Amino acid sequence: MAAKLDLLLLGLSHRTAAMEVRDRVAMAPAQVSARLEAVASIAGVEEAWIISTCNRTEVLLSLVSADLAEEERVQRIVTELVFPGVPAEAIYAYRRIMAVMHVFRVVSGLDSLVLGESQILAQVKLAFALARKAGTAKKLLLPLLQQALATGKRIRKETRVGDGTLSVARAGVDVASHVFGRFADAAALIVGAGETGKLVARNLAEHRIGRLYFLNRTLRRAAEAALLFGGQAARLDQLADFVPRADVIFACVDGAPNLIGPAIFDRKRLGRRDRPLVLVDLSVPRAVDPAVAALGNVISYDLDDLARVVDTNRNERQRASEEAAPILLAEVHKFVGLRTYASFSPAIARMRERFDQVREQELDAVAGEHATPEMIELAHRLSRHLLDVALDQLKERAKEAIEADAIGRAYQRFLEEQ
Amino acid sequence: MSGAVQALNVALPVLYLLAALLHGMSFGGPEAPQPVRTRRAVTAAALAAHLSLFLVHWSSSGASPFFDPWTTLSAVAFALAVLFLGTSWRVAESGAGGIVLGVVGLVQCLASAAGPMTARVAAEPANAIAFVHAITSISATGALLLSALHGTLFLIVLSRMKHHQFGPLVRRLPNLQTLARLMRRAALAGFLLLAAGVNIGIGWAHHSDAAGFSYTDPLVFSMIALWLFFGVVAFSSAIPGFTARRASIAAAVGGLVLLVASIAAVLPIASFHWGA
Repeated sequence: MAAKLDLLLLGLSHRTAAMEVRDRVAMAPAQVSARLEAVASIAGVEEAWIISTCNRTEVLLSLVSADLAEEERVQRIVTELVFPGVPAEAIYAYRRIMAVMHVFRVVSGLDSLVLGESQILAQVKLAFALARKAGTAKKLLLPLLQQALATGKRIRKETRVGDGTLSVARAGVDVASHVFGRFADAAALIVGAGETGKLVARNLAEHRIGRLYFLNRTLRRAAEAALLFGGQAARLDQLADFVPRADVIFACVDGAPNLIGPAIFDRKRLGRRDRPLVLVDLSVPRAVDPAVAALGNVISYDLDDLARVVDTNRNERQRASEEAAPILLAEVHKFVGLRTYASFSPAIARMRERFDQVREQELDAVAGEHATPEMIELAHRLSRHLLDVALDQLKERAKEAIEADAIGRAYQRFLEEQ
Repeated sequence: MSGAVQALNVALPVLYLLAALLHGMSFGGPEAPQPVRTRRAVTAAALAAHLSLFLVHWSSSGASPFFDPWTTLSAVAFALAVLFLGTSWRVAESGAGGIVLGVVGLVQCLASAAGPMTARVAAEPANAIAFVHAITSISATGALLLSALHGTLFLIVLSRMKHHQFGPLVRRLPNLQTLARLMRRAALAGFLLLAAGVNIGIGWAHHSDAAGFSYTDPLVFSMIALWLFFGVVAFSSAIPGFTARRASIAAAVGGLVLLVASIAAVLPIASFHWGA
């Protein structure tokens, strides 16, 4: 007897839909709650869960029956409700165990645009909380999502799928961390307070940087960034005054070729620094003159160097994602086993009732009104032990209900269909 | 007893090199297994076996084992391992553990191979002052070697970073600031221990030995020179222009001199501290 997994997942993501389509169907949390209630009220739908991020919008449904016509009817209504006007080829549908595998992959970051990214865990948690609040995740979706979250955490812990950054801004900070370790007693100078500069500042703030200086062509933008991340702001023409204060300089200013040249550094002072000065050039064209790298006590990187770091990280994540497959399959197997066991619940309740009846009957037949407390205790213990033995057998049967090999083959098919 | 000494002599380099190999597995990257428990167990077993060797040797000879030159070299290896694991435990699990324990294994290999351990036990039984002199001097040598190793690792990581090579050495070894801090701390520990060791040794030499203390003793001379040298390394962060890179170069050179002096001290050449 296999588990009842009448699941249907409908969705679109970066794999199937362009950004404008994804934007059109994306929902804010308040909209998700309203849409959950609408979906859950469709006849034939037992439970519902919706996740909506900038890269995916998906609806997971637990259906009342496995009837194909009924399933198609629900699919049509949900598509009109959640994905209005979206081309059919942009929407994917997964059923039963395939839906379980997809959810586990999503939560683990294996289906993300940036492989292994961890933001999806928080997004799934939020979507889970919304479904619980709306009362649309219950006996099937509740344990499914709980185990999916546990699987996501386990895969991140046991593999390196989330290790190594894939963003050059973060890679720049990571590279500098090989010099400073903790940034608490370091000062960073960010030249250019645009998007890249702010991204670098955010990463440095996460590393608890000691001091931050922002320089920009317009003081207003530098001041905004300084206010946002804490630090000091100045105009770009004060560069020479701020360079000696910095332990690490991030150049994030476009259209300023060779802005930072050897002449800006006091070589004597540079030579007296205990730690080398780190220069990270994220600008196009390069804002740091290549001649700076030849100065003593300076380590300089440009976008090409960081792109190599990012490529290495991407390859490592790809390899790690292959290591994640056995964990994912083991968790899917465990989930199916637990659901199968849960499907025995009515039979277990009847069995328990019958054991109690038989015990009472036998006690009456053997001792009647003369039953001593010891006899009653013995009969209770005996029936309890026998029931435990029977339940253990049931658990074993539940585990064997679906073979691990069968799940492995299903996963292979799932990957081939992607 | 000599059977036990022989067995421990053979086992020690193997255990240290195995511990180094297990620590060095972190260089293997994400695919390499990380047997944390096994490597801790092997490292602990190596230290326990090493301690047993000294105790067995001590009880069998009746004299302090540290007056036997090859056991002294073995004790330097032990001090290096203990100081590294004791002071740098945060980075021991990184690739640094593989390199430092590898050096410990090689020094122990030399001590084990070049024995025999019981060959040159000092004629006079150990006294407390001599014992403290030996312990502090040996610990100082271990600390200074550790400083040199951290300095060397600093130079390797810096060179890799300058050449934009972000391979396992940069990824798995501690960051430059940590290596510089560990290098200076170890130098400071060595400086203080050697200050104690040399002074106790001077006192002991004047009281017990007819020859007395002499600056012409090559080991005494080289140790006092190294004491001053590593003193500068230890306080280099307060000296303008003495950057972490320069201090690392100094520590590495000092370590090399120390190693040569230590090995020379145990070679049967004329009058090198233990000589005629």
